[in-house]
Amino acid sequence: MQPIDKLIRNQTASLLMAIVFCILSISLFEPLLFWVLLIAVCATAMRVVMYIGWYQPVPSSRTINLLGLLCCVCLVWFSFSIGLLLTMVNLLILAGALKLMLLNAPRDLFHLFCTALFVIGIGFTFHQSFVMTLFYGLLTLALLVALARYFTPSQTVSWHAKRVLTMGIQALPIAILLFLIVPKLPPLWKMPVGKSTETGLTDTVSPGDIASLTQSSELVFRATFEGPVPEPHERYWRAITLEQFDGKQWTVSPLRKQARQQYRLLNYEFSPSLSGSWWQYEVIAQPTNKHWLYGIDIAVPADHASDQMIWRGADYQILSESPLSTRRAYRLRSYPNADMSQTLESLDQRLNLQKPESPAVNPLTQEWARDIATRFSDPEDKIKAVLEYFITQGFTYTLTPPAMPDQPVDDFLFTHQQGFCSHYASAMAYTLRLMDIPARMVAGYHGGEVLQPGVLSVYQYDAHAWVEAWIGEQGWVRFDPTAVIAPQRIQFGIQQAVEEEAFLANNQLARLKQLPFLADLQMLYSLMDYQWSRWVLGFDAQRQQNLLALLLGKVTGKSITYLVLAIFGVIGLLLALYFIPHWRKQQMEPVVLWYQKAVTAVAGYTGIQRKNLGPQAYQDKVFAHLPPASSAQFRSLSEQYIRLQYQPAQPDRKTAAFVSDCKAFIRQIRRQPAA
Amino acid sequence: MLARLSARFNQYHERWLRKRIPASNRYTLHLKNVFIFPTRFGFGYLLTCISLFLLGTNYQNNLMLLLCQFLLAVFLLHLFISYRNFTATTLSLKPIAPVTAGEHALLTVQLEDKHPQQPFYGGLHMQLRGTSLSLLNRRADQEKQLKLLLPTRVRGIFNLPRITFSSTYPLGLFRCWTHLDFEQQLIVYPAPVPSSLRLDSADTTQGDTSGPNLGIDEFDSLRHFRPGDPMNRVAWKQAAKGGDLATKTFTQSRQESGWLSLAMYQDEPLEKALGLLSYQVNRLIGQQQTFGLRLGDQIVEPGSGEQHKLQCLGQLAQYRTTDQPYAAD
Repeated sequence: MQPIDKLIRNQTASLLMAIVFCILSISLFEPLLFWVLLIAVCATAMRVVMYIGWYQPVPSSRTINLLGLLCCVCLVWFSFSIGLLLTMVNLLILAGALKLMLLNAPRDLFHLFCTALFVIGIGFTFHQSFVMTLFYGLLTLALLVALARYFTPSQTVSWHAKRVLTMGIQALPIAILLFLIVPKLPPLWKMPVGKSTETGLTDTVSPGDIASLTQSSELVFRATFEGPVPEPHERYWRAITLEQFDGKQWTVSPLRKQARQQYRLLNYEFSPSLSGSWWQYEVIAQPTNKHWLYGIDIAVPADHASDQMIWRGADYQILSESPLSTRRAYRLRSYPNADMSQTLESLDQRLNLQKPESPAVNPLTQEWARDIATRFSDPEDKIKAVLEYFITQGFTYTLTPPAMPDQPVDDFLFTHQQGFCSHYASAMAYTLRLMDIPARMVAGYHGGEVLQPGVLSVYQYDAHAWVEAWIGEQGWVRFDPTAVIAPQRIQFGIQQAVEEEAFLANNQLARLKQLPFLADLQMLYSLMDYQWSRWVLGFDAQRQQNLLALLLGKVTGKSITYLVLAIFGVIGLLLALYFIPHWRKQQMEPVVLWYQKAVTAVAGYTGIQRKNLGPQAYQDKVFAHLPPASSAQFRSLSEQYIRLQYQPAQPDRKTAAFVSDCKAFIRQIRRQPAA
Repeated sequence: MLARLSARFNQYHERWLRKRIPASNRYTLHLKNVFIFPTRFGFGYLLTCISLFLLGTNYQNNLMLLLCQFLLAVFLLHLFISYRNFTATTLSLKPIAPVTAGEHALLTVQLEDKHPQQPFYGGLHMQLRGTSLSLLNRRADQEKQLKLLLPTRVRGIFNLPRITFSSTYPLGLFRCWTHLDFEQQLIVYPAPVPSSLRLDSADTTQGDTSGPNLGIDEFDSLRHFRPGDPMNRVAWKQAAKGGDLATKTFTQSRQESGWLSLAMYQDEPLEKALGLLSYQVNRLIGQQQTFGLRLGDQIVEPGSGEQHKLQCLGQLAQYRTTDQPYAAD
């Protein structure tokens, strides 16, 4: 092959590719290690310098290999702290950046292109909002432009951009058809997931944890109700049941985990009998990389796809089969009045009477519990006494309680007497256990902001903790000490409950929300985001099935075959529309078109066909046959036409005038009675 | 064994091609003479799509799936875009000027757009089938011409093999190609070997026993310079002395009986003999002399001028050779 063109490094294509890659890396700012990002930016800078021509030689591949080796060693070192998924992302960016430095042959360009496409795919793990999708879509097109520019250097970048955009618009309907029709498979194998996000519940709750969550206005999930929406005080979204207490922290009981594992092995799913009224709703949960899902009270999957995805635990917790690495939709039905005594009582009792045995842990609380236990015998009276204590002793509800490091329950109950929901729940559950009432802490969310009728948005600051106690026949009964101390928290939400305090003190965004204009904008964005997550991100196997049922009536093998054929047909039609040449008529210039219309009108009136006469000759021929007014008009038209056709560079307005004259003439001649 | 099989296959392929794309000196590309298949990069692209699909399924991420499906749609569209672009062109080969052995022959392929509103874009790669001679012109759409130099080593008349043209416009996902037979011959004259003139005056019937004929160009007189006279005939000495430009005229002692004959070089190897004759043909034509050529049984009647020269050289090129396929090395 003979070199005919510029070297790759001096081509606009490689510069474009480098810039797209750089923007892509920057968009992954959060998952990337700082030094990896730095290498990516440096590689781009190198490309720019090479393109401009300040520095020409490409670094030798040995240098880059050494650098790559060094980077890999570093990455292995960091991988222990960032987890497998993030290591992979970093590795991918690193490989791309090193390739970018070496970029010297067409093949390198292709490798880089494929890597960048893959990185865009990975980007969707971290960003799924509508805006980011649009952004990544544009980056994809930019990549295509860069590649097209490499193959056709004789055209400008803007020419390529126009072509690629047209092609992208043509491809979109096909892509959407495929998206709708290609079966949504369940995960084929387990993939590494990232570490959980900083905010959000964890499966270990110490009393201060939930208070810190109230500083975050991040969305947790949205619920769309079909039919009635629960009243504000009924919106207890369970997430985790915490049954193990060590005197300071509540955690998920290891015994419970074991039991769950055994049940899973036996495929023995907890299925309570259900009764009473229900709420049906769809939850679209934000990614947490955790297994637990959110549901009110006793929640069971409402359809097959959700059933596939959800495992129901015997602690009324619902768990996803795979961690929530992306936004996920599932449909539930909640039975608030159903009996909660259907679990294995012996196991529940054993787990929920567990308490730190040592007398040195919270001794005052132990003594106090013994005292109550001697005074009352009925468990309900004991519970009432505990709640009574909270009310009469002037406990206050605050987001910023003093630190209680040593004996948290003692300090809370007898020294500071102020705290957040988790303090109350922790203290109460512990006290009940001391009085031999099985009790546990439930962490989750309470409340929800109405986005539009029937749709609730739940944010991190709605995080809440409450208590469940086993009372005789009734089984598990919910007690919420916070409702006693700060009823407005339960009725109106956290914002009302702690208004005097600096709610979301650190969150600038929330403060901006106070401005009415921005509040509207935010609302609009939330609505859009909701629809986006509902219809695009939440388009799962169930929705696909619903859609098919809507299209086909009844989903059978035969009808599916027809549908697939139909889809192929539609795609074929689209392709024909795009590619069969001259499917649209050869566009005539307006001047010619209108002159011919005028001639047709004249021929219709006079009966003299133009055939191959020139405009002047034809005009002379028909002049006498037209009525006087029309003949003058037609002469003027013919003259204009000759001028427009045979004199160069006529202004556009003359064309417009000619066209309107033609229209007037045709109207007039049609009104004349035939000669 | 393998070599034989592949040779057999090539034979079949060649025969099939002859039927499918018959020889012509001008081709309009269309469905029947164009092949299309994904390139290596195209398969790499598909592999990326598959990875994205697996990733999207495993993470249950609809946007990844949408991206994957968008890329697949792009792939599908490019099948048609590539094909439409490639078939928008008409290819023809300009006649190849004969060369002497050792020189490079220039192959020029002309591109024309079938429809002005839908021009051909992108680069074009061309390769002589069965040789390593190839060329990628990345600006073929602008230059409308592809030029390739063909090295020649030996004299002869060569059949040009089929030329493979391929285009990967616009994204390199697909390669469209065609094998065209332009029915052209490449004429390679023997390389001239400088020597003194040996013109045989004898009649054909007298055989080739007569001696060499020297001194054909004796100086005769001077006449006024006329535009168009060869520069080497100008009497520069006179001009330098300040006189008008004058042209020397020569007379040829025996113009009517000049014959170049291979038989005179019986002692020389054939190729060298032909080289000597080639040189002399050129020289005689330069001197505007009339001469004939005898190559064994083949006889070129005496004549002069460019046409005569081509005829003689052509005879020299094909003497005792058959048409053979062109091989670059």
